Amino acid sequence: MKEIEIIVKALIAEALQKPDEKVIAGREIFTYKEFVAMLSSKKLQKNHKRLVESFLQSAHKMFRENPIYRQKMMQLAGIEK
Amino acid sequence: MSVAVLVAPKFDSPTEYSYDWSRDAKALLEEKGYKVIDISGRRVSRAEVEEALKLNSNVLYIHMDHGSEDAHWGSEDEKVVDLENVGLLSGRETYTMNCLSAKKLGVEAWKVKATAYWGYVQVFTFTTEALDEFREFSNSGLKFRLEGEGWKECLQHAKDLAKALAQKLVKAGKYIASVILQEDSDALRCYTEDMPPTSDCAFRKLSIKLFGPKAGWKLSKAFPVSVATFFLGLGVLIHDYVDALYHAGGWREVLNFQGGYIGATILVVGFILAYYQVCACLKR
Repeated sequence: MKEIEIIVKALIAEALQKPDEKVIAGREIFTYKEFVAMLSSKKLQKNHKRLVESFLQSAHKMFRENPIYRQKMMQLAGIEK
Repeated sequence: MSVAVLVAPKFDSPTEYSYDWSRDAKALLEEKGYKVIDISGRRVSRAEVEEALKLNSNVLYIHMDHGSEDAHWGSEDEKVVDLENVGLLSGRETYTMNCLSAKKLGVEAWKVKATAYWGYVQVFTFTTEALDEFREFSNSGLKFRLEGEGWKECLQHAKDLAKALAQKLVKAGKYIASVILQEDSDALRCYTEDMPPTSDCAFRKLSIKLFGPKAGWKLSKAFPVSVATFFLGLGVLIHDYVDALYHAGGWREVLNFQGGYIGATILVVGFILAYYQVCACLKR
C-alpha cells in the first residue's frame, strides 16, 4: 500500500470516529466525513482540488518526518498494531 | 499612547470564530497600553476602514477574516483593503489572519513600503476539534511582537509554536487538525524590508536573483518578452545581413570588418544601458 493510501485510509477512520467535527476552510465548512471524502475523489472543483492537494502534501510530509504521526497513521489504517 | 486599528467583521459562520479570536488580540493590545480602534463584530464597510487608516497613519492595522489574494473583506461583497487602496498600508505594520492575502496584496503592500505584512499565501483552515490551538497560533505573531520581538523572530517563534501544537494534536489523536495546523504554518509569511517576498514563478525568481527584490518584484511579464523580441529581431537582422554579405563576397566578405557589425554592437550596448537605467530606477 502506498503511503498516501495509508494516510487517506487512516484519516477516513478518524473522520468516522468524529461525526460532529468540522473543517473550516476560508468561507467553506465541511464535516470531517465530507472533507476526507474529497481526499480520494477524482471529480473536484478547482479550489477543492487545491485544498486537497495542499492537505495531502502536508500530511505526507508529516508522515515521512514525524515518527509518532507515522506510527499512529499505520495503526489507524490497520497496518500496524 | 500607541494606537491600533482592529478590523474583525462578523457576517458568517467562519467569521464568528475569527471575531471571537480577535477579542484575544484586542485584550493583548490593551494589556500593552494600546488604544484600539475596534471596527468589529458586524459587516464592515470600506469607507469606515479607509477613514480609520487615513486618520491614523503608520499605526498597526489588524484584519481577521475573510481574505483573498488581492483583498481583505469586510462583508460578503465588500473589500475593505485591496490593490486600489493598498497605499494605506504604506509605512504601517499589518497583521492578518485571513486567507491568501499575503499572495498578492501582501506583496503589493511590501512594494509600497509597508513596514511589515503578516499573512498567509493559502486558504487559512482550521477545525472545530482544535479551536484553542488554532486560536493560539493565529494570535501568536501579534503576541510575540507586543512582547518586543522583531518580525523575523516572531515568524520563527510562530512556526515553532505551530510545530509544537501540531505534535500535541498528534498525541491527542487529532490527526486531521494537526496536519491542517502544520499547513497553516507553512503558508504563513511575513514581509519586511529585510524579509522580501519570495515567489514560485521561475521568471520572478530569476528577476529577483538578477535585479534584487525591489526591482525584481516590479518587473512585469512584458520584461522578458521585450528582451526576447529585441534579441530575436536583432538575430533576424544579423542573419539577413550576413547572408547578403556572403552572397556579395563569400566568407571573406563576412569575416571582414563591417559597419553593420559596429551598428549591431551599438544597439546591444544601448539596449543594456537603457535597461540598466530602468532597473536602477526601479530599485530606487
